[in-house]
Amino acid sequence: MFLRKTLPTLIAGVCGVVVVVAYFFAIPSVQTLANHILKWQSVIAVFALGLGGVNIIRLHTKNLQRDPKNFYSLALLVTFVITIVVGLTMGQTSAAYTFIFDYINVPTGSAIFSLLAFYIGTAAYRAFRAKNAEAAILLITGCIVMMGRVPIGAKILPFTAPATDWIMSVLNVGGQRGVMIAGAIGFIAVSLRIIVGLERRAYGGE
Amino acid sequence: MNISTNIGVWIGAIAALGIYSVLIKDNPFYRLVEHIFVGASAGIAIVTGVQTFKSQAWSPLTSGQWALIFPMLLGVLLYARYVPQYSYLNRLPLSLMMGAGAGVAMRGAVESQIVGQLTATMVKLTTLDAWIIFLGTLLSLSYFFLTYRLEGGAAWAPRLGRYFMMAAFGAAFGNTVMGRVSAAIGRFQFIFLEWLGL
Repeated sequence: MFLRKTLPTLIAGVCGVVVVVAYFFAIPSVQTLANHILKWQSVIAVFALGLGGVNIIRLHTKNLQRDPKNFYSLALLVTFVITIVVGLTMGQTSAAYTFIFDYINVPTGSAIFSLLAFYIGTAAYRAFRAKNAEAAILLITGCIVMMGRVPIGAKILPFTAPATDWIMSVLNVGGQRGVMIAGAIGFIAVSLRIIVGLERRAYGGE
Repeated sequence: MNISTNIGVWIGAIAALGIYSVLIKDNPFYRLVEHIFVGASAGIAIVTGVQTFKSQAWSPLTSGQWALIFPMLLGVLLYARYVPQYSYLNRLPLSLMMGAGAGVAMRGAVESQIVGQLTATMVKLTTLDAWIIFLGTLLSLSYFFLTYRLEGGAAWAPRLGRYFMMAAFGAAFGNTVMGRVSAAIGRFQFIFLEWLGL
């Protein structure tokens, strides 16, 4: 019971309180302790990353055992292992590692990132149907910003370029600021719940 | 047409074409490229993690900072989830991470998202734009006032706040679309100019 429930709650509470107190009060001993906790946290995070790697290997090895012709899992595992071996044996500045990063990771990542440009069209159709005042405002500001952000848009409708600047620096700031402040208050509430032990599910408790 | 002879450019272009092939429909080429990308990204993350471990934990430990043995032991406890009878032990490192993370998030939220934003709002209201930003902030905040429903004469405040938020979301949407479109243009430039040499 102590190891399962009480100790994790105590650890979360003490770590959270120390980190917060160290920020708001200039108490050298607490600040030193908070620095240690944050360093410990970053060390544990590396082990958590390793856990992700182990999970990838377990999952795709299982897939291969179930279906040896599953070449997707095989390709993933081979790329995963080659990247790690190259990175750890030759170093992160080696030509082989840079090749993997520059010619596999970056172009594929950019292509996946840009894929949304195509899907967002259908999303825009759903979001921008002017059914009420809110949707109409969304439609108008969205269209003005899209037109104002490209040279051809500003050429067709010259007012869109200055209008975009005004929307981004005035209307957008007013609306986003309220959302940010309200979101931060919610964030603090959730953080407090974790620190005082009301949100034990966050670290695997019941 | 001057097709590239660089093998890396070929791999990058074929990978990009593989990703774009999903626009027609889900296909084995897309799934293969996707899995290779996941493998390479996860591998890069692990390599970066190992380097961080070396610089943040192993080197300081071997140079006399023995206290770092404790986070390492806690880190090892994360793997207790694979041993069912001791799986509860992984709550110890998780609780440290969540507690410290909550503390960091809390002070970050207070500093940048509350104090920072309020300070930026409380400026001299000498221009129309400053008034619009000030009122926009107040009105959109009123939308999140959930203690009780604002009714009657006060009901216009959250409604106007919603309009401000919709304008902000529209602007964010437009910006996102253009960001993604420019990324797509970058990829097409890579395919047509760098790879095919058109």
